Amino acid sequence: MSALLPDAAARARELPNTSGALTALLLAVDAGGLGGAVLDHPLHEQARTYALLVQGWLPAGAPMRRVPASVTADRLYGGVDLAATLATGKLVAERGVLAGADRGVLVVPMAERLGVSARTAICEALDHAEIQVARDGIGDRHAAQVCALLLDESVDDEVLHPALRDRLAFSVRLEGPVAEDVEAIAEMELRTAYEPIVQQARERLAQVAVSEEWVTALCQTADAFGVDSVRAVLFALRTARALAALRGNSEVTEADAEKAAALVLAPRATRLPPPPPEEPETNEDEQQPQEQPEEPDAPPPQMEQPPEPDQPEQPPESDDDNAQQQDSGELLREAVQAALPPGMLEQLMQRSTAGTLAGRVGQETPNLLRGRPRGARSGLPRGGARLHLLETLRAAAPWQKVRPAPPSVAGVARPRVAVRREDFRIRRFIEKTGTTVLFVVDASGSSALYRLAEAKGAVELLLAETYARRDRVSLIAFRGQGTEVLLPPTRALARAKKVLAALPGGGGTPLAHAIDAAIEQALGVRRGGSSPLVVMMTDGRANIARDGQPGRKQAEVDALSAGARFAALHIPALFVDTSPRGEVVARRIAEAMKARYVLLPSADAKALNGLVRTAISMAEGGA
Amino acid sequence: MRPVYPFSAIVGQDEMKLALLLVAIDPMIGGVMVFGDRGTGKSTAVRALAGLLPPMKVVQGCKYGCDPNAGGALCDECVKRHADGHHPRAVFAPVPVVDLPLGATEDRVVGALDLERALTTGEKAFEPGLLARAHRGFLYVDEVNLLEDHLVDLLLDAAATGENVVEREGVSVRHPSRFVLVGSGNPEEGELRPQLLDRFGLAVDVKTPTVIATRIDVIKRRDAFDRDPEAFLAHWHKADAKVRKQIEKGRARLDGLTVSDEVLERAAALCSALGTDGLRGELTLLRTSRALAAFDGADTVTLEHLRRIAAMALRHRLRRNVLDDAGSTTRVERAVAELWGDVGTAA
Repeated sequence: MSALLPDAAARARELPNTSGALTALLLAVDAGGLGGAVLDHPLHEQARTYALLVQGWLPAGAPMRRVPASVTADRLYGGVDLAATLATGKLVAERGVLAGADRGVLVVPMAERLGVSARTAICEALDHAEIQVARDGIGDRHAAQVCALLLDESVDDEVLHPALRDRLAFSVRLEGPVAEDVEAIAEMELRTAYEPIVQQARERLAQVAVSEEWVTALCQTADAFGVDSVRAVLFALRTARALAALRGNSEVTEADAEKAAALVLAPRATRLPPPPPEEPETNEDEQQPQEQPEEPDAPPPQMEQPPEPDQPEQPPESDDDNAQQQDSGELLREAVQAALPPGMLEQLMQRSTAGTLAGRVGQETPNLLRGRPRGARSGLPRGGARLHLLETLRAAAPWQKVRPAPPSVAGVARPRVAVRREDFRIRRFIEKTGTTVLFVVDASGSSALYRLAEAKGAVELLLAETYARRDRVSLIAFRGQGTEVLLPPTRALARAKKVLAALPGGGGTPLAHAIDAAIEQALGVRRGGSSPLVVMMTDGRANIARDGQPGRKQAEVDALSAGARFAALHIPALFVDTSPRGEVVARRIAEAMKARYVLLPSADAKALNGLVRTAISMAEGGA
Repeated sequence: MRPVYPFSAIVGQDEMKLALLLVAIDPMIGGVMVFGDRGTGKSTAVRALAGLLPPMKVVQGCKYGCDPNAGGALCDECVKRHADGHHPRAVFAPVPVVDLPLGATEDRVVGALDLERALTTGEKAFEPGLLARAHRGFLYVDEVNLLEDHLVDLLLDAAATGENVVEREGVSVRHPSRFVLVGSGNPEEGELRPQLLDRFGLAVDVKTPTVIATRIDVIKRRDAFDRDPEAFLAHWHKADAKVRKQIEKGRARLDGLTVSDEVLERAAALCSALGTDGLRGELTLLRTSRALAAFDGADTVTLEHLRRIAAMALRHRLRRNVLDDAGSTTRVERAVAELWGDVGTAA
């Protein structure tokens, strides 16, 4: 180790003031308690620097494992080392990545693409600091306390799964000063200067006290910003503790609590707090203060005698000093508000009641596991693929004469068949894809509200009746100058209802735009492995051209050419004409799209739903 | 290994706690479906309850955790042991809680041919799956709504019949598999098929507490537990023991409790008023109210017991009504109030 330059040591006495280097320090202090961080669209070089920082500050010898998002669960859990098992004739286990990353760092680029089983494995490690491997003959538990750094590189409608986000304390965007700070601290001198500080903080952590006031304030702040998860508040509390420990204190200060709230709660905010009330309320109806014995030797609150099981849970005592509480809560609220990521404030202000989980999460499981069986192909039975035993033996059979007999192992009967890697056959399945019904609804003009109400009813009926869980529904509205995806493809009725609760109407009819948007969505649905069915609902009176200029003539020409493009892609579609007596133009556009034209001037949701069902079964039958 | 949070220290979530206690008293009630957001302590509660249950007797050396006093319900191997006149010792084991990982394959769930042994030694051996490990305990499935249909059907079949039958790859095995299925799901992330929901005995909603004081309490306890688990466990040990006793007493009382015709009729009337199809709803109402009476130490099952569990037994069986946006809990409570007069709604 080189001698420290005096100024590096001096600089290290100050904690970094941006979230980048600071979160790395905190993770190194309490890796087990904080889970890790989401790195928000970093350059890979930056992510690497950050990961190395955390690893460098962890106790010596901390491993770092990096896995692609396509990692299979058996790589994470560990399983049978097939080649070694066959070669030796004894069961040889291989340690999984999670066990290998125990007390170290796990890095996952493109984490939004993690498959469902890999995601579950990582969540298990984060929840229990260990994983259970359920295989006969293989050690069934491994310590796996990992500090997970997940790179969120999602585009369009992908999102990093909320189950993962919820289990990681921080979300870090490495840009501008934050990135510069990380770069600067990653310099050898400074990084080394922090080492003893982190180490002392780790040792001190268990002794850091947090006063009631800050616990209360953090809970209130979480509530004010609509952060529901208990994990979030615990992370904030632990962060405050780790900060105090880093500063060499044994007590969490106001500055620690503020910083912790800003780091942990701000990125999770789902709403803005209501403006503070004119007069401080005493919340009488919410909590009945309970007289607290003011004896000096009263037990701490969490150690109060457990209530008798047959008595109702007693409300915990509230702080007598209500004004004091309000103040602390207020301070933290300001800190969080100030720390809201750019753009978020605006988003929160505009946010309606729409659900927060948008977009497609992860990929569907590969077709090695589901659907109808269809023969076998060469491959190893791993990553969830299932061995086709008969076909494997069949492949091995012709070679038995020429292959040397497998080695016999003491105590194990000699295998009768010499099977080699290249003989393995795994089962193949054909996956039946579901249908995604895309409602494209004309929200312009006078009948817009009525039409939207029908579409809304049809969407709900469809979802309520969807017995085959494979089907999804989405809703695009078009009016005025453009289109808007009101509801990305979903199966969740609850979510759809939330979104559909408030739909505005009025404006002109940009039909060409709508068809373009339908094409784009339908192609996206296809990429996701589902079959699209488009349901257009309009009276067909296109009056907004592609360039956004009003004008019936050009608008129709544009709509027809968009329709032709639509037809060329063979997207099954239903064209519901909602005009009173049918529009010639609507019919022509429907023909151009090669869509089934239906005249339904006073459609009710039920009739529409029946139509769509028929169309689905036709599309599935004809696909 | 992180220690298990004590059941009696869970703040609030009374409905979920009660549902779990009742199925622990009478597993015949069926599984529990828990609707709720992330980070509301769903899996904590399941684990905590299992940690609290008295350890069970198992046949020593049995892969399937057979009950020495089970009589008929034994795995093939134990049946053979008995036939051969062996009397293996009984040992104590904790009640298992098995997590079903979302990506689990059918092999892992039901068990499969032990390939390694088949290929290396030519032996046909069966490698038990998660259903075997969950026998006599709990099988927890997070995000049931994301599980593949055929797997869900498998689980529900095993849960309903109490055994797992495997016929594949040339192995034919059957072993007892009685477990309480606990599923969790977030209604915002995909719906559950009605026929699937209907097969769960009870359904409960868990929410983040809205009262700040309760939230503070949750955080304080959780934090105290994280910082010094041993002290925390020692502190709650007595309360947990009390609950354990209540469960044991409830189990002992269960068989002696009868349900009067009046309560039977009330249950039937409630189901028909709510339009829940089939007998599942009624059966669940009866079993659950009986378990509650046993848990309370009551001599008879009363209308009050029925009222307290009506929502958890029926809320997931209601047909969705597009015109009625009221939540299913509200609808059950409304029906109860209309039928039996307003005896105050359940908290």
